[in-house]
Amino acid sequence: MARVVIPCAQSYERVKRALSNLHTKRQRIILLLTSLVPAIALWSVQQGAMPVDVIDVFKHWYSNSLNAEYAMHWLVLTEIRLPRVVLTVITGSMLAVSGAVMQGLCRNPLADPGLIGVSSGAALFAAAALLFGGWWNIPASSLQVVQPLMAFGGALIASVIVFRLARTSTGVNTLLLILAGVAINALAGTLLGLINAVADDDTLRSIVFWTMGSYASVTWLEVIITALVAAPILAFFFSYHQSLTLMLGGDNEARCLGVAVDKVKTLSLIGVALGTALAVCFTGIVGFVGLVVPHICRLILGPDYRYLLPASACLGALLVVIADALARTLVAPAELPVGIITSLIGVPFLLYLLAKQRTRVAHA
Amino acid sequence: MKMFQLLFFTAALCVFSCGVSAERRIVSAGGSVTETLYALGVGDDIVAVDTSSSYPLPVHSLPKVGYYRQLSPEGVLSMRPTMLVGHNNAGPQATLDALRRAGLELTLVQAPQNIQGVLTAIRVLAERFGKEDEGKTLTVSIREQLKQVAKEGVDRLKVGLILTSGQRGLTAAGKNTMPDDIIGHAGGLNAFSTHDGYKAISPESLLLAQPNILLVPSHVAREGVEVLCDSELLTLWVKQNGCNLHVVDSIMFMGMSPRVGESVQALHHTLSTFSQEH
Repeated sequence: MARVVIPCAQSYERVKRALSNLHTKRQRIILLLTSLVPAIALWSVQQGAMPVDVIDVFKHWYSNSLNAEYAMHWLVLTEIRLPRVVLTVITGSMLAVSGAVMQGLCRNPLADPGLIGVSSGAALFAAAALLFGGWWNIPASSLQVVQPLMAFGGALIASVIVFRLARTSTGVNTLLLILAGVAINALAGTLLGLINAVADDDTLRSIVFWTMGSYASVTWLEVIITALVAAPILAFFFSYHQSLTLMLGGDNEARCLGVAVDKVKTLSLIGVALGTALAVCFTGIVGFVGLVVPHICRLILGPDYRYLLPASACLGALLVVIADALARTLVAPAELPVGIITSLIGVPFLLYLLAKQRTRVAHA
Repeated sequence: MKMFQLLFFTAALCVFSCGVSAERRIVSAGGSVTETLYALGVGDDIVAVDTSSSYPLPVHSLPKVGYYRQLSPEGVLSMRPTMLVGHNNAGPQATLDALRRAGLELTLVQAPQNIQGVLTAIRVLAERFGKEDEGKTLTVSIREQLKQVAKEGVDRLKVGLILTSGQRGLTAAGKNTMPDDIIGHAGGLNAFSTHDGYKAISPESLLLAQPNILLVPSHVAREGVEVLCDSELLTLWVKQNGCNLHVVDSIMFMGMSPRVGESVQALHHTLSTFSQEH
């Protein structure tokens, strides 16, 4: 953050100008990030086991001269790559924004959407779907619909339990929220362990793969459903940026400044739960995006949610798009789970942040 | 949009109708399917396999498209296949749907759980690829091997197949597994027929089952039989019975390999030798 030195008399004008410069600078950074997203997305669309040159394919399609080879490229592009890249953009931004909101609500840098039990609830119910699907011989085509539904349901059930536990007469208590989240995460983890213990080898492998996350075989239907739900949630967060920023100073302080703290908290938690549940139900758990991306953005742009939210959305989208492109090219023609890649990118950053924090604490 | 769909269908039709008469490129998803295809003489057409395929030797130089239950459509399509052959539990389902939409022909066979299943799978694949003669030869030879074993009786010894995962415990092959069927055909009794499928058992359960011989797959017995006998999990049993651990080929015994007839014969030989010595 820029240091603004304020001398005596013309302080007001100087502060105003300094803030205006800062605002412009931050706006430019966000503009840069926003323009990077389609560029990187276009790059990502061309990566994969089958190299696809988008311009070429489009030219052929436009001039109606799709021969045999380009027909396959067109198919891979429109049916396999594009839905995948679009979904990574949507879920990446959703997870990062949810993380930013959670870190603000809990006033804790280690908060991420998983805190309220969303990820573990989703994993538990998805694993249950796989286990019972195997035991009761449910056909794979039905399981394809049932599993995301169960994952979504599980995520919501876990978050509802956490909210109930954290609710007091004066609204949602942040400390209770964190504690309840830890408890429900532990419970879900235990039950998941039980499922892993009784599952046979094949089911166990499927469960493990799901919990590591993968964007392979994503369909346009899933993309549309996710977009329809994610858009209003993101719009909501963006419109409440001022309230979220003011709540950083404390609930009572924000109330004194006119923020409807309880309403914002409740709606935000619902938004985080819904958004994250949706982001993980089709693809599995993609970790570290909600934790690390807001921190990086905060380092560059400061804690003001006016800049933090759009920046997190863009950077989150970029991270997941790049991670997914790597996931499908590093061991082509096989694929790595995308959660591994985001963790591999995220953990070094987290360690760096930790080191920085240590230095700051040491000097304080 | 309609124009595009018409165009695409025509193009795809051309691609794949050309493909059938010209070169056949197969992606094989499933170790036993790969082995059966090679046994039927279709192996040369295989361009990529999944990670569970490890026999015969040529597959090691082929690209791997991932585990057969976690295929990615793009990975498979990048091999420019004309068909995918695999177990019916290959997946995920969304990938199979995407591949069908791409016009790829899918041939899925029921994953065999016993020797009869292996024979059925061989027949189905032989019919699909027009290799009925080779298929018949293969199934007849397997049946011959089984018949030969059945003729020579052997003491009903209690045999079991176990797997160990480090110090974490034992897993035993119960009913409705391939080892169970092989043991039965070889003339033995599965000591672990009290449970279904592959389940974890405790060292006490092992003693209770009282197997005379224990079979260990080769991928578990890499460091040798003595090391396993020394481990805490088997100490009690070894004290009672001695180190009667026999190593068997992992794929031949636990996979659903067309070489199952050889497995039965080998086990039968092991059992008769053991009976004679004791």
